[in-house]
Amino acid sequence: MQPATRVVQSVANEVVPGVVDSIDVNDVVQQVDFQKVIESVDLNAVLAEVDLDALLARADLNALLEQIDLDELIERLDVEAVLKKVDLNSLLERVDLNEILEKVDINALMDKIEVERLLERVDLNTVVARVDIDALMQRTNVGSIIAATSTGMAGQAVDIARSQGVGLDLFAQRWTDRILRRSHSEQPGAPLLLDNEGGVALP
Amino acid sequence: MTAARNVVPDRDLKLQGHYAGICSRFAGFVIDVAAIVLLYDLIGSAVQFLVSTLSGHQFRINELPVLPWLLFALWVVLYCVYPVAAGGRTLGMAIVGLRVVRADGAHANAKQALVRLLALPLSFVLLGFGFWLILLRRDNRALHDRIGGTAVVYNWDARAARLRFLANQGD
Repeated sequence: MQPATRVVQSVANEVVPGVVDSIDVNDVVQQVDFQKVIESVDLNAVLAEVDLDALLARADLNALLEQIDLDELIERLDVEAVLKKVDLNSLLERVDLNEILEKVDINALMDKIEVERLLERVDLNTVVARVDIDALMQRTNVGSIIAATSTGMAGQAVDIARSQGVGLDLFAQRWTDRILRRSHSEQPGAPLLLDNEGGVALP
Repeated sequence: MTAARNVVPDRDLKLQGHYAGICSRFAGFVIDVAAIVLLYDLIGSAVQFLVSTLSGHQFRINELPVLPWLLFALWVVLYCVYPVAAGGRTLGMAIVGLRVVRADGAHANAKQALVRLLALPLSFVLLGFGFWLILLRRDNRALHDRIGGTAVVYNWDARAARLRFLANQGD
C-alpha cells in the first residue's frame, strides 16, 4: 500500500465512525418522500420483469393462508358489492346444471323437506280459485262421468244388458272358432284408426 | 248385488272400439225394428187424428193405395240414415252400446249410412247369409257392412258403467 493511501485510510477510520454516529438515520428517512419515490418507479415495468409463476412456486401458499384469518376477512368483505359486480347469467351459462343435478340425491333432498309444513304455507283456496274448472271439465271426461254415474236404476239395467250382450257375443264367437277350427282370440279386433286411437272419439 | 255379478266392467272397458258381436247387433236390430214400427204407428195415428179433426171427416192412411208404403219407406230411411250420419248410431244401437263407423274406424257419413241401409235386404238372401258373415269373419262385418264400407263397434261409456259397478259394490 502507498503511504498516501495509508494516510487517507487512517483518517477515514478515524473520521467516518464519528460522522456516521452523528447522522440521525430516522431523521433522514423521515425527510425522504416515499410517495414521490414510488411514483417515480414504473411498477408495471417492474412487474413485467417478475416471473410470477416462479414466485408462486416458491411461495408456501398453505402457510400463507394459515396466517390469514378468513373469518375476519369475510366479515370485512362487502359481499353485496361483490355480487353486484358478478355477472350471474354468464356464470350460470358456464355451469352444467344437469351435471350438478345428477350429483344431487333427490330422494335425500325430499326426505329433508317437510311436506306438511310446506303445505301449511300454501293457500289451497287460492290455488283452487286459479284453476279453470270449465276448461278442466272440457279437457277431461269428469263432467260426463259425474252425469253418467248419477243415473239410477235405468242406467244400471242398461249396463247389465250391454255387458250380458258382450258376454253372449264372446260365447258365440268362441264356439264359431271351435267349429271352424280356427285360433280363438281373447277379444275381437278393431278398425285400424280405432286401434290406433285416431278414429272416432270414444268415451 | 245382482248387477255386480252380471257386469264385467274391465272386460267391457277393453272392448270399446272393437268389432261388435252378433248377439249385441241382433238385439240392437230388434229394438230398431220395434222402434220403427211403433213410432210409425204412433206418428201415423197422430196425423190421422189431426187430419180427421181438421177436415171433419174420417181419414185413414192405410186406405190409400201407395202412400202408406212410400211414407213407411221414407220413415225407415230417415230413422236409419240420419242418426247414423249425425251420431253414428240408431236408437237400438245406442241402447245396446254400438256404433257404426267407416271400415277404417273414422266417422261414417250419410252416403255410407244410406248404402248400408239399401244393402240390408241383401243380407237376408240365402237364409241370411249376409248376417252369418258376422260370425264367420274376424272383423264381424255383415254383407251390408261390406257393401257400405262400414263396421259396427262397441261404443258406450264403459268408464261410467265401471264407476256405477264400483259404487254398487260399495253398497
